[in-house]
Amino acid sequence: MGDIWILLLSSIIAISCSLIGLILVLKRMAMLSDAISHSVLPGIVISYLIIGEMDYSFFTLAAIATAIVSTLLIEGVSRLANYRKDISMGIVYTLLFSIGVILLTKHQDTVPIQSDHVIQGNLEMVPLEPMWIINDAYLLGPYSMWNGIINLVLVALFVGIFAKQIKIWCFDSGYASSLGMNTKLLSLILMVLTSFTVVSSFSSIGAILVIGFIVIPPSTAIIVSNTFKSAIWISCSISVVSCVLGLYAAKFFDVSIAGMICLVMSLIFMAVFVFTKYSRLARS
Amino acid sequence: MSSFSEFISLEDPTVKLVLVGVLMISISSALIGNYAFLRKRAMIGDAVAHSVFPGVCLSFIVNGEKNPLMILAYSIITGLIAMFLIDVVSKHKRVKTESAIGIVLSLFFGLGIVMLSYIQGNMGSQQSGLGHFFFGQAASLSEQDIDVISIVSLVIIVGVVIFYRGFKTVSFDRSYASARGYKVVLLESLISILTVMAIAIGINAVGIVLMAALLLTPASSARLWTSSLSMMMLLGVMFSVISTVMGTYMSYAVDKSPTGPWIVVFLSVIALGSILIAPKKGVIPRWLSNAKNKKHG
Repeated sequence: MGDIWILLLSSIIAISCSLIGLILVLKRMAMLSDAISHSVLPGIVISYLIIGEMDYSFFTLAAIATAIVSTLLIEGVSRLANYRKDISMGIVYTLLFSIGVILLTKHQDTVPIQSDHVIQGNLEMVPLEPMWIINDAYLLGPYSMWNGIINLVLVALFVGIFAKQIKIWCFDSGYASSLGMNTKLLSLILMVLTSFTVVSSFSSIGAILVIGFIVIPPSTAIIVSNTFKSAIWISCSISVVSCVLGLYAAKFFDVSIAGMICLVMSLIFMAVFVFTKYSRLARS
Repeated sequence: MSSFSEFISLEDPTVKLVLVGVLMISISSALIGNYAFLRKRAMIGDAVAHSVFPGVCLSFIVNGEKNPLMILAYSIITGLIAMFLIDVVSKHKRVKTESAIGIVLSLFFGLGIVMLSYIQGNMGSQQSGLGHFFFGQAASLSEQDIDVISIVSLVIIVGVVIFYRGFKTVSFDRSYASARGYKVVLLESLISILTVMAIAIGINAVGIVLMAALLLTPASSARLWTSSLSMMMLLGVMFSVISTVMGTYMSYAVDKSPTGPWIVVFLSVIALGSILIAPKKGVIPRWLSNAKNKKHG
């Protein structure tokens, strides 16, 4: 029975990640997810130290705030020092993550976030989380799953409503602005949704494996599909399939579920990569 | 909490040992990091650092204990495989380099996490000490670790000195180097191997997640002060040594805190300081000279 919650939660997270990831990968911003996922940690720890309890909505706000701060810092550092983006990214995210880890280890006894889980993810504990039960009768699943659902709805709405704009923006940013589209606003929404996605997956898959969830399925989909729409469907399907296979493989070998899902995603990518390369070679 | 003077006087032999180890690590990473910076491969160091983790775990699974030499060998091998894979994957015309880095990073890191959970579940060793490789714990370095670290660091330092001219030419202008008869591919592979070696020992001090900073931040800060590569190396090493001593001290002074984050905080403070005050390129000197020009103009 517990497995169903793990499966649902991981699939919900994986679908949100791959929707957001598709845009990030197409915009060549894949490593921004790396920077954001690391910088979210100090935001969450500080917000816990301020209010003293696990309040998810507050966490989300704090994480979005730190994500915005880190993006501004990356931008500022690369402008002021004339660095390329990836260098300022490397400097800023390592600093923010360090501050997070220092605070976390200093307040280890009071903050109920374990640094191990930040790294390894903790899908195993999902069935033991507090459940949302209505009228003592209807079991609606763990609260963290509902946070994931809210996030998924927001991400899906963004992609659904702005599909056309996103498509133009991804493939030709200059053309998008010449059409009078507000690309700044799109970037801002994308960043806020990325941090929201990272936060909602933070406690279950951790701050590092989330990069795999964001980058791998969309990259696989982009290799095999020729339209934006089919890329969306393929990358979401890969995500769900990986969650199912990953969960059962992890149960079978008795290893980390989040790690296994990430591994399955990469194996699918490698298989597709090798296969497309091989078939192209065979054709020519 | 021991005082800084007590710490720096090296009265405690274990402190002395550990400090020697982390200093060797920071010097060698700061040196070889210059080439990652110049060759525009900043984030590749990050990906490779995450990728050596399954090597660490595999060595533990195969040998059943923490053997520094085996850990080094396995992590260098996985690191090199990761570097090779990034090159292969990013050559695909539909996969961008950034995505390739992210993919390889998560492939290896996912594998590492799976192995770690296997070790924790089946080998009954919660105390295996593998967790130290996430954020670095210099205090847990053994004498054997320090031996391995010192030898590898020496190899890196000697390599950087011997091949200085070749590395420099290849990093600044590949086609010029090849026209001048340098063996470009060989030199580039050497840089890669030395970088992976630096990462493989570096994760002892700063950990997997923050290793990128140890390679990258000293070089980037030093770049603001000077345009000559040799000066850049000298300054970078200096910045790195200062941060490492301060960081290791803080990790001693503040109970249970890992070394890596502290070293990175000090490195970043130096970097941000350099951005502000470095002559010519710093924000404040530039602003002052602008103001002066306006007055006269």
